Amino acid sequence: MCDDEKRRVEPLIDVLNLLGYEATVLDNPSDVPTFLDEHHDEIDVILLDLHMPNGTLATELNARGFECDAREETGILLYGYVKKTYHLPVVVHSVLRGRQVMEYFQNEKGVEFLSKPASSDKIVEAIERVIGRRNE
Amino acid sequence: MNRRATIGFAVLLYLACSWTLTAQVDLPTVEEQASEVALSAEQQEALNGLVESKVQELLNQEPEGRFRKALEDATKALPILTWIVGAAAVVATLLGAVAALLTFQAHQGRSEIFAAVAAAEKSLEKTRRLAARTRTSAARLRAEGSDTLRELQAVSDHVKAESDRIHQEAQHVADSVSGIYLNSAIESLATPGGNPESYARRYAAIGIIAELGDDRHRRYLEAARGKDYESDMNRAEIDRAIEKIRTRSQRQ
Repeated sequence: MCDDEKRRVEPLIDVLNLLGYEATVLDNPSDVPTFLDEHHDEIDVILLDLHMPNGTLATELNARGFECDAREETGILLYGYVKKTYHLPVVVHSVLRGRQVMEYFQNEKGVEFLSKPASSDKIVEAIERVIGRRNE
Repeated sequence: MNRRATIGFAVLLYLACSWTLTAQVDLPTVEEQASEVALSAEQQEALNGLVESKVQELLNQEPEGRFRKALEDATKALPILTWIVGAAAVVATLLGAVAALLTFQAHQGRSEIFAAVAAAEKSLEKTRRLAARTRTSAARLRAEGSDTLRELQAVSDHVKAESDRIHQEAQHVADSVSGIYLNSAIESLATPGGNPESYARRYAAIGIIAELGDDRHRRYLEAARGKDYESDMNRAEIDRAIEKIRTRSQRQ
C-alpha cells in the first residue's frame, strides 16, 4: 500500500493479515521505486493513493529512465511507472474523483477505483477481484 | 200513458243535460227556442182575436154550418191548447235554466281545469328551470371536483415521491451508519492482542458483526476463530455469531 496517511490504513493491514495476506504500507511515495525494485516479484497487488506529496518521486523515476512531469499527481506518476515497468495490478483508493481522473482510470484495464474512505471489506473485495483476474 | 210520458220526459231531460255537458250547448240557442215557444199575454190575446176572427170568417163563408160545430169545438179547446203550449214553454224554460246552470258549472269546471293546467304548466316550467339550474350546478361541481381531484392526485404523487426520497435517504444513512459500525467491528476483530481490553474489544466486534453482517462477513469471523491468540469465550461467541448470520441469510 502506498498512502501518506499511514495511521488510517494500518487497520486495513490487520484485516488483510487476518485473512492471510501479507501487507505493507509505504507512506513516502519516493520510497516506492526502490521497494518495487527489491520486492516486485512478491507483490500481487498495489493499493495506491493518488493525492500525496511528490517529494523526490519525479527525480527517482527520471533516474530510472521513466520520463515524467513533476506537476502531475503523485499517484498518477506512480501508476504510470508500475504499469510500464512491472505490470502489477493496482487498486486506486483516493479522494480524487474529478472527471479527468475518473475518465483516465475508466480506460485503464485491470484497475479498480475506490472512493476514499472505502470500508475494509470493500477494499478486500476489490483486491481479491484484481488478484482473481490476474490469475485467470 | 202518464208513466210513459214521465219516462220520456226524464230521458229527454237526461239527454239534454248530457248533451249540454259534453257538447257545451250554446245556452242562448236553447233560450231563444224557449222564448220562441212561450207566448206573451198580448200575443196570446192577439192570437185569440185572430183565431176568433178567422172562425167567424169561416162561419160566414160556410152557410150550411157544417164546420161551425167543429170550429166551435175547436174554439172551446183553445184554452186547453193554450195551457199545453204554456206548460211546454215553462218546461222548456226550466230545461233552459237547468241547461244554463249545467253550462255555467261546466264553464266553471273548465275554468278551474284551465287554471289547474296553467298552474301545473307554471309549476312544470319552474321545475324545468330548477332542473336546468341543478344540471348547471352539477356540471360546475363536477368540473370543480375533477380539478380538486387532479390537485389532490398531484399532491399525493408529490408526497409519495418525497416520502420515497426520504425513505431512500434514510435507508442510505442507515446503510452508511451500519457500514461504518461494521467496518469498525471488522477492523477491531482483526486487531490482535492478548490483554483483557483486546478480548473485550473483539468480543464487542463479534456482536456487531453478528447483528449487521451477512454471508460475506462470516469469513472474517471464521479467520478470527482460528487465531491462536483468541480466547475460548470469544471463540464461542464467534460460533454463535456465525450461526446467527447463517440463519438470517437462509431466512432471506
